[in-house]
Amino acid sequence: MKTNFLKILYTTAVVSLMLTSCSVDELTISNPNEPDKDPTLNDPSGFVSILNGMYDAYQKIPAGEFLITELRSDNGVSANGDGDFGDLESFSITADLGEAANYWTNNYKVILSANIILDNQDRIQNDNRNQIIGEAYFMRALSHFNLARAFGDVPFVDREISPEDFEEYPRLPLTEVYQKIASDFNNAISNLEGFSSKVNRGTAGAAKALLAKVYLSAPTPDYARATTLLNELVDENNPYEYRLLDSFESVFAFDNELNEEIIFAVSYESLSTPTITSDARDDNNVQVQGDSQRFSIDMTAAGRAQGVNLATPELQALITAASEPIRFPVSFLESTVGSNRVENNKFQPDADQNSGRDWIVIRYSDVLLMHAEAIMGEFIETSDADAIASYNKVRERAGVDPIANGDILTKEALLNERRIELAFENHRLYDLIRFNQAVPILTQFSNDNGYSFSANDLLLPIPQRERDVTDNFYPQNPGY
Amino acid sequence: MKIKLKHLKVYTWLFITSIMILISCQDDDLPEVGDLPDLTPPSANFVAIQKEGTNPEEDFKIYFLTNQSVSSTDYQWEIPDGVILLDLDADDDITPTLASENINLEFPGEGTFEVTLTSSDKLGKTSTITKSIEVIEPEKPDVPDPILVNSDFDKLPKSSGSDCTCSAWINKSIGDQGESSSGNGGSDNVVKFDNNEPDHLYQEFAVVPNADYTVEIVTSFKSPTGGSFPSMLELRVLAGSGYTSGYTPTYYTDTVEFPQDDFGYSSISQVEDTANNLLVEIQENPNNDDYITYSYTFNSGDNDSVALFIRGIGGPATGGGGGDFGYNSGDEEIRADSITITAINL
Repeated sequence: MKTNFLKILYTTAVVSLMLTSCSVDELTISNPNEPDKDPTLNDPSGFVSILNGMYDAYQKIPAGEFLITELRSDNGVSANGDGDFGDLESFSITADLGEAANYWTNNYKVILSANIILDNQDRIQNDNRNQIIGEAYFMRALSHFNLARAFGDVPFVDREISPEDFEEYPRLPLTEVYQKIASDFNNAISNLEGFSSKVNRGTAGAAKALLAKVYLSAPTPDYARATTLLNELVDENNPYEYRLLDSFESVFAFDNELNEEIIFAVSYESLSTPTITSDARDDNNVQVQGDSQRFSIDMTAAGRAQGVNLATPELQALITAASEPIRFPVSFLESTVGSNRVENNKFQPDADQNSGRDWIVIRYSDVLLMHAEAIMGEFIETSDADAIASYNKVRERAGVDPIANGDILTKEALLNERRIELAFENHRLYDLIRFNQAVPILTQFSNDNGYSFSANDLLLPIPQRERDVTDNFYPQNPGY
Repeated sequence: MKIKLKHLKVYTWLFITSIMILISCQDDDLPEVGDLPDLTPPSANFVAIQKEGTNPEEDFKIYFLTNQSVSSTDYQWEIPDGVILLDLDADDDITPTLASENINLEFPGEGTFEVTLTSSDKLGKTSTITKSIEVIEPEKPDVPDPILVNSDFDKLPKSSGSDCTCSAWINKSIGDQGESSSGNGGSDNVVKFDNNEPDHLYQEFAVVPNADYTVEIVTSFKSPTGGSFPSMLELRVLAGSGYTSGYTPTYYTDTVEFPQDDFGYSSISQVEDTANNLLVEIQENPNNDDYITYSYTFNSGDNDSVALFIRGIGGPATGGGGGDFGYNSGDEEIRADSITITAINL
């Protein structure tokens, strides 16, 4: 017995040592829960699924984008100034702002899906291989463009990465980020030209329109390239059949979504069941095409903070029933006009909590006004007939006086026209920045309203949680 | 009670001793073992952004100074004499001071100005930065050159009638059209003002108000005949403010689009009204039939549109070879090869 006991003890000890020695390797084995992508990548329908997943990820972005753009401009306020909404509208945000973190994460999720496609493009067997590749470039460019405008220097992620790879992707100088965005949009154009699809997917025409905006927004704008791209699009016989609808109201009509004025939109469908919205923050449910959205309800009294993205008094003074007979009723909800909480009428929900109203990313009026902007270039006015013709098309459709023959178009008039035509469509803040008017105009706006704007507020903070998990690898923006 | 009193003495002694120990530590400026260094001292920084507004002549003096200091709670700005601290608050519930976090300045004009920012934290540590701000008035945008159609007088189609080097240059209310001719080393490349006829050129074009322009015209006179009516060429720049009331000019781009009548100027009396003339120049016969370049300048005044009017004069008012407009060219033919108008950008 004694001998046996010793033997058992000895054996146990040796086995334990062996087990212990093995456990070093166990630390490096792969995550057993990591999905195996191979079956998906070997199946043509797999790439379609990844592509749909990419658009699905993008459906979350409009949920918070209006909060970090319109509330940070002189267009939008919240009903009661609560919490983050109050911080955003009064330019008092801090590095832990949830909406900044959401915007960061949601855009990089889109980029992740795009990168899975682009990393594996040699394996795509589908007939429309180029279209799949083009759409991935398109969305990777768009999401990086969103990030660059919101945060300034950002990591440009050009492959599928793991958390431990972050040091390979520091915050890149903005000029380089813009070069890479332009390169991606150019790749999108060359791959997508010749394919047609609904405008809720990436198309060559949409890539050209957005690339023009990239050239105009870059730290050193490239007005010549922007003008070339826009010249093709503003032609009445443009190959993508974009046009200005005769009626301003019908651009936003719920039964007329994805119309000929829309160049790129994020689609939703109103759903009562299941009650998931694509912008729900914490759901881990598989997102599918045809999600509904809830930003529309958030813009009404039934939404968060009793309504966000309400019109500022300054915007109401600019768009009046007398001065803008056509755009006034489309921009402001009639039943709220005159109250102290004027709602926008462009994105009213069609169903209570789960609206199916699409989000318009870019439309033809924007292209026409960018055309005038690109021709005007670095100057504060232009007498160029093409620039004035494009500007006048937008004015005439809205039933307001065009610029008379021989008169000049000023930068101020163009900026104002964009504010009226594109109100509530998340353009104002970036228009002010692009026109070099953000600091003077928002300083005055902030002073008039007792807010605390400074030029530092033109960039969002790098989300604190991203800095925490990377040991402050990303330097913070000034002022946070 | 006695016991308690005894204890009280001990406690009092302990209490006083403790206070003394604590106080004795507080005066100590030198770091001791266990003291923590200020790992996040203030670091002062700021940016100055020039206003680019709708009034460039004034706006360039205004700068928005944005604080970018790190680990700082209090600020003190130093600005040179003559620089104004702007109060942009309309309802005056905030009054900016040189201790404000961000300030807005108006500089007296162009020049280099030193602005200093001292940032401090609540531990009394400070950091100072001085930046030179170079205030420069932005250059005015270049005034574009006006666009003239058929400024080389090529033989081109008209809206009606045969092709002519005078296409795009006809206003039948104030003269007869010029004629196609050849010269200066080409054919059908110049326009001719016939002798003893009321031939003219007229075209309207867009200008930038209050801008200076140069007019260059290349002309040739036939040798003087020695008669009593020597031809002269008159060139006028007519103000858009003198256009027939209610008239809005259209700037055509192709010679076939140009109407030949019903423009902004519809009578010679309107043309000759001094108030309507921005420039009047008269060329006399140089006694040399070479093509010579004449150069004039004019200022557009309050006008965004002007008309160029050129005619042969010198002949009897009536009885010439064409229509009756109250003027005629004299005894010699005059030819024009080209006309150029350029903006003067200093």
